[in-house]
Amino acid sequence: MLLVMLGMAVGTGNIWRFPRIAATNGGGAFLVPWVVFLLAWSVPLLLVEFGMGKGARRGPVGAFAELVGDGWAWMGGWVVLCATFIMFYYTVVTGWCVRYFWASLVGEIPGAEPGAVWAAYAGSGWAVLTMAIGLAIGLWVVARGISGIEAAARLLMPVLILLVVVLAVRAVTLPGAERGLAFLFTPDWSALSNSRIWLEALTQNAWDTGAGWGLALAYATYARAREDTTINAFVLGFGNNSISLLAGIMVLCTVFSIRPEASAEIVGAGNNGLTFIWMPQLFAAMPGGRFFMGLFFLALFFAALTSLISMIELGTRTLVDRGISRSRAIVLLGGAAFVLGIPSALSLPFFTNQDSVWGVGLMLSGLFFGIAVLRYGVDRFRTRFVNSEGSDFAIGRWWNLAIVLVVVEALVLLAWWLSQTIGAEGLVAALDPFREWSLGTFLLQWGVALALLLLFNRRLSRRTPPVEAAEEPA
Amino acid sequence: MTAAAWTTFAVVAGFVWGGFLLLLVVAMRKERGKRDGETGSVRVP
Repeated sequence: MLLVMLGMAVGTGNIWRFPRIAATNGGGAFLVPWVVFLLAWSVPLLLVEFGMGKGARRGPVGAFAELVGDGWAWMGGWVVLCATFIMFYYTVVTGWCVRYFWASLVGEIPGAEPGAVWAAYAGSGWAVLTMAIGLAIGLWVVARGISGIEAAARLLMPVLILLVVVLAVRAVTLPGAERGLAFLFTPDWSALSNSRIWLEALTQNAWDTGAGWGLALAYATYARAREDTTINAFVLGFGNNSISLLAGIMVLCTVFSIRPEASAEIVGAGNNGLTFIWMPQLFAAMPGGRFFMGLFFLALFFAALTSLISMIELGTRTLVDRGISRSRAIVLLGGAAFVLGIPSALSLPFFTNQDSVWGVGLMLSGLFFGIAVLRYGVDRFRTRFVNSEGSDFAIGRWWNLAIVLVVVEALVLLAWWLSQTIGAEGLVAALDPFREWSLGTFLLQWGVALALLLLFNRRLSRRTPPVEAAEEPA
Repeated sequence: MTAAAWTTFAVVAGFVWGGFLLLLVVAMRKERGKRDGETGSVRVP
């Protein structure tokens, strides 16, 4: 179960987002709020998800209805919808990893011109093909059931962790690698007074650990009754951030060793630019670079695949909760993912739009989990679902405060984001719904989704039998 | 690397990696104790 959960949490965001965000937000100083929010956002929310999943034995829609009442099923619907829309474009990311792993095997990258392969591939029909390959692999694993997912995690996660460790060790042994370590760990304490650092650290934790996505909840529905909620949530949070830290060391040591003069440009090139344009260039300049480049893209593919599997499982679990057979649910979800993933595969602006809209939407998901627990009763939830049977480590009253903090953090973050967006562009420009990034596009897509969920709330809240309590030891 | 950078590295990496390894060892010991003849930690629905 731990490997399955870790597979869910460890994704491409650990490898391509964390190093970039840490490097551009105060280095060592960023790591302080990053650790604080591991304990003040990720772990408390993961405890909620584990508790709800194990307690309700249903996906997020059924779990919200079961715990806080039928009128609140739409909140669970939002959690599922948000993660499922992310899944649609995440299939494209998985496809990119497939393509670049292949390109590294056949020696197609880095090529003479940096970014030439990316320019020819991204947004082309080939991106649709590789998306379909990535999606098909994910669907195949989920079609084998929860034991299939567990088998995949048992294979992929140890290999992924080993690959990241090998690449990190290789990176720190490169000449000049200490400049990367110094860049990552030298603290600029004055940066801690900048609210942006704290907000970036919170966003990174929300993205990184998968807390509030509903994915841990979906997996927890299958957990044994005696599975320890507390230890699972802590291992997941700490394990995920351990991989992020390794990835940060790996990427920044490589950048500062190979191209120290261009480090600012490389780190500032965005997720795609850093990973698919610059990393091949950097590996090419390294002794044994082609071998390590292959390992890097294999690790990236494994990270993407294990996360994609969890997103497919969440959608499948939700449809199964509606009374649809598992095989039919997978076919329906696969068909929808293929059709709705095509626009993101063919258009990078559309991809960016979806990434932004549903990525920020995760803040609402976390907020809804927090509200649900507050409504149910924080102390009651902790006693009944967190410190439940099988939990050897009781969670104290600090968690009650942590849940209130989660709600406050989500509200502050959303308010800050709104004020920044309106302040930077003006209200009229910000409300234009047809731009790649605007308040208008967020409100339009969120508004339609929320209106539909509220409209169909009664149908959503219809109960189906829960997943049976897991077997106990003989 | 300055002393401050080394200290930050030791504290952050020690807390995150050390915490993970410690929790993992505890989780595996507990799991082994509970399994007691079971196969796998999840139930096939």
